[in-house]
Amino acid sequence: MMRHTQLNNEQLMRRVANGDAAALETLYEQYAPAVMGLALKMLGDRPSAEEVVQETFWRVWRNAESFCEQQGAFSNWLFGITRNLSIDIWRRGKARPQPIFDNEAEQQLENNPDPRADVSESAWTTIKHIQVRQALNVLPPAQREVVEMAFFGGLTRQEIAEKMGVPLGTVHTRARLGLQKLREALEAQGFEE
Amino acid sequence: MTEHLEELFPFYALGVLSAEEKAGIEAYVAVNPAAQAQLTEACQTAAALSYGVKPVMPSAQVKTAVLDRINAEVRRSALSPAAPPVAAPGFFERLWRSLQGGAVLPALAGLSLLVALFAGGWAILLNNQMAQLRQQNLALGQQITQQNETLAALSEQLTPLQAENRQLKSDLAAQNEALAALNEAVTPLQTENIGLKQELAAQAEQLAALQGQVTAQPQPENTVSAETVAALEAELAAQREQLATLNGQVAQLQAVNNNLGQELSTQRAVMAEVTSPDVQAMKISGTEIIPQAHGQLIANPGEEKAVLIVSGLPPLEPGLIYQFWLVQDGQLRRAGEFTVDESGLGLLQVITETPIGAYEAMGISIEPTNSADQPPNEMIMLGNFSS
Repeated sequence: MMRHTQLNNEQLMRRVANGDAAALETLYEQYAPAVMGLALKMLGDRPSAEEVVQETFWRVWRNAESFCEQQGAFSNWLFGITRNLSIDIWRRGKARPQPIFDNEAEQQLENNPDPRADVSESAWTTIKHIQVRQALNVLPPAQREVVEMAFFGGLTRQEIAEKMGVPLGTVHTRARLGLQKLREALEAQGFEE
Repeated sequence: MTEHLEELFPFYALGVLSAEEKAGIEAYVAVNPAAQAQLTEACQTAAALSYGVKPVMPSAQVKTAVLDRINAEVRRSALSPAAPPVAAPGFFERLWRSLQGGAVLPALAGLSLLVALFAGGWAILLNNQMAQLRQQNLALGQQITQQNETLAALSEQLTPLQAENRQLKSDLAAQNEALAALNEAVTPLQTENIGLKQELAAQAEQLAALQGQVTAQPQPENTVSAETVAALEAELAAQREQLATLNGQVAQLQAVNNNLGQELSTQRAVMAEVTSPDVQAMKISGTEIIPQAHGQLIANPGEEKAVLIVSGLPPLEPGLIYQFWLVQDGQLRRAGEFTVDESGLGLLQVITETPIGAYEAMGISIEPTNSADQPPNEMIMLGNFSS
């Protein structure tokens, strides 16, 4: 298949909408590691995460015409699909989300890559990963925990309040301040979508 | 209401709100550009979190499965029902020729079979199309249901918004009335202000006149005598001397303090060495020059440090020190200098280039200070590591 490495995401999506499978393959190679990382973090087991990766890109193919670049970046749309699928799976009880701060388990999952995989094309996502991790480290632990519980754990604000044993208002404040500080830290690092 | 909705923006961005809550927020920002910008910013920030997990490469089978699925669909699309298979003209010519040739029955049977096959294929195709249409229909039905739900949520919000609007209008009218009342009150205040300013100007003129009178009166002379100045200078000199004395005492105390600090540091090191595991004590004894002297070198033979503790040695005169020696391969090596206190007790932290176990013996001599290049004097204490 012909590769389209010179095109940006929106141009690639227009081609995907016109039935260009090579354009979808290019997007897969750019984003599959990030999508897999996100699904793995949310579900905690590799087979379920790979199922999500497959379904995510299938939906990108099927729903390409519904993608509207005026409504946001392609990556936001893509990761939104991934999160929704992951939340669906663990709410059905097929997999359990990773504990938020269990870095050891996360490391174990991350350090178990597919030996046949070519990781050279995922270098740019690694740079973004480092920027976001550093920005997250700036947050006070309580704010970071709320943000991560919601985003990676898919917990509602009521569930977070119950789990942390704090009033709902406190959860609201922590989420608001957490996102605000995260934005400032990302801007300071020159993070670009 | 507004405040409550904006509180939920972070959770909208983090993707954990119910459909109803989401619809409420979307309706709110649709008519509020500032809130829309705020929400977009929160969504962009939250989206960056997706990169917060380390990228992990999925197995190669995942990519293969995705591409196989897509290619299969591409092939299905290529076999569109709009282009049904068409029989080649040569076949019908052949069939006509066979009918004309008298083979009617076999030809009719073949034709029937062909029609049956074609009808079967066409039916399958139509079934597939019907299934697809049913799925599309179902999806459209779901979309309509969702839109109805959104509409219902919007309608529910409309009533409180209208009430809020009425309240705001009422507040605005009350504020306009209050403003008019304030305007009326301002006029007498302005008049009063003008009167006060005039009074202030008159007082300023009176003050200027008084100041002129004061300046015209003669000033008293300086009454401080020369004797008072001399007395003050003498007192100042005496205080300076006292200060210098105090500074000297402080310096002495600091020196004493430094010595005590060093001594404390040495003692801590000694304690650490003595209490460490695998430590051994090697005896060192006075020779016939100072037979009452005795001591121990405490060390882990595998390490390059030790502590020497000796007692029974006389304090030395200024310009002399006790020199500690270690013997390796028959060669004397300087291993540190020390003095003793009034009770004859001396401590030395020893740092060596090779582990202590590599040395054979040790000794102590009395040497002048700065005698690094001189051969050693006679040993006043000796010890053998093998014993």
